[in-house]
Amino acid sequence: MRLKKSSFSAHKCRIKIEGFEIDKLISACIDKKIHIKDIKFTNNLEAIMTVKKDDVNNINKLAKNKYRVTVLSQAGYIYALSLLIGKKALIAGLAVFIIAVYYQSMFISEVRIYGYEKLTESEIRTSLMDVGIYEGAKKFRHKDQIEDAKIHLYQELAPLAFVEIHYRGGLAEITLAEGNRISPKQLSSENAPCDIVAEKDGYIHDIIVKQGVKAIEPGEFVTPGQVLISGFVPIKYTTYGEKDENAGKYVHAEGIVTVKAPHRFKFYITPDIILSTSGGDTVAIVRNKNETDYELVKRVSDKMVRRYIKEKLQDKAYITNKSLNFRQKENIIEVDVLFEATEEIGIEQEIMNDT
Amino acid sequence: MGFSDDFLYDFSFSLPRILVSGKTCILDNIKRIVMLSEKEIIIYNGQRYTAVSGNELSIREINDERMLVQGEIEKIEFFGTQMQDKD
Repeated sequence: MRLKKSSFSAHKCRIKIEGFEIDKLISACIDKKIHIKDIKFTNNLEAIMTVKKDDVNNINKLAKNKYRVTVLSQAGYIYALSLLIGKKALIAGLAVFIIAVYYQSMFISEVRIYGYEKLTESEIRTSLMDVGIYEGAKKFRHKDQIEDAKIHLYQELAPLAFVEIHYRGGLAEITLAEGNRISPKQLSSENAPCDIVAEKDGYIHDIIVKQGVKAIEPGEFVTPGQVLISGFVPIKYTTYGEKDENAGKYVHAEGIVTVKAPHRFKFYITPDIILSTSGGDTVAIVRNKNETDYELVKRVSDKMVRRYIKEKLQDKAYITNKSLNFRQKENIIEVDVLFEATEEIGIEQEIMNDT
Repeated sequence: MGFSDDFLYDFSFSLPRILVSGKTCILDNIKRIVMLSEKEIIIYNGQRYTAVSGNELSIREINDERMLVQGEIEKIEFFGTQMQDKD
């Protein structure tokens, strides 16, 4: 089977024809269906034209000894390839160059990070290094690897609103946006169903329910761990029929529960120094001008009560009733303070539901 | 143009057929080249001769009895042989 003749773009020759009556040779070429391009007459005896490589021999046959045919230049991709084949070292060099460029493109040459505000660049780079994005590291080839890296970054650099990993050649561009995303732990603790239970014992003074169902009434005595506000809200049926007593929904119980609890402590006053039995610390006090013993004791005891509430009751108590009992022993005044305070005792306890 | 004229135009392989547009000229049905120069190109179509005259004429391509000429075209002439003229 004969191969298809080459085209002009494959291999073409620029030839010079010298001789008398060149037009006759061109006529002969037309008869032989020879394709000719860009004929240029330099003078009556010389013409330059472009023909296919295969046709040069045909023109030579037609020209016989009447015309001289000279190939001036050659072009085309087949011609370029034939030139390359002769230069094995060049081909090997080119192949090595291409392989080197390709191999180099498989690695990260630079990492750029955009969009960080509160986070530091070194912090982000450390996290990126953990997932394998750093100068000299191999680039990720699969989408799954990039997605895994993103998930890792979301966990490591929380709260992040957005992370994008993009390769541009050897440059790895990391674009991120910091946000106020709520962590899953925080989310669960703020919205998880829970009861309000008593932290300590006492008589209930007041109960204000914001969410949930009241489980006790004011005046009742509660012990630590007793449910004060229930997070389980039963369904109220407004129609007749079968009623499921256990049906309801769980909510995040909220409310303020206060108890009225008595507190008692004793301390001593010397003319200029206070010896407190509660903490053992001493506070210098100066008697005001014309101040009686009762006024002095009242002023000091107010101060000591405030300190007691701050230290023992975490500043959450309010005094409702107070009585002082003091007696003087030589230069020391012994003060016995008894006060009644309301304090918050409700704490959240998560409802652990097995179903 | 009627059917016979159409038919004659498409299948007359030995009569001059020429298409001129601006500085480009396409000559068809070339049987032989009589003369080539920068000022004049004369071709034989089998029954008639065609002459294209102008300045800086150059042949861009010759292929399948068709010639593409470029240059300042001034004049196109058609000749017949003496025998044909007598007829």
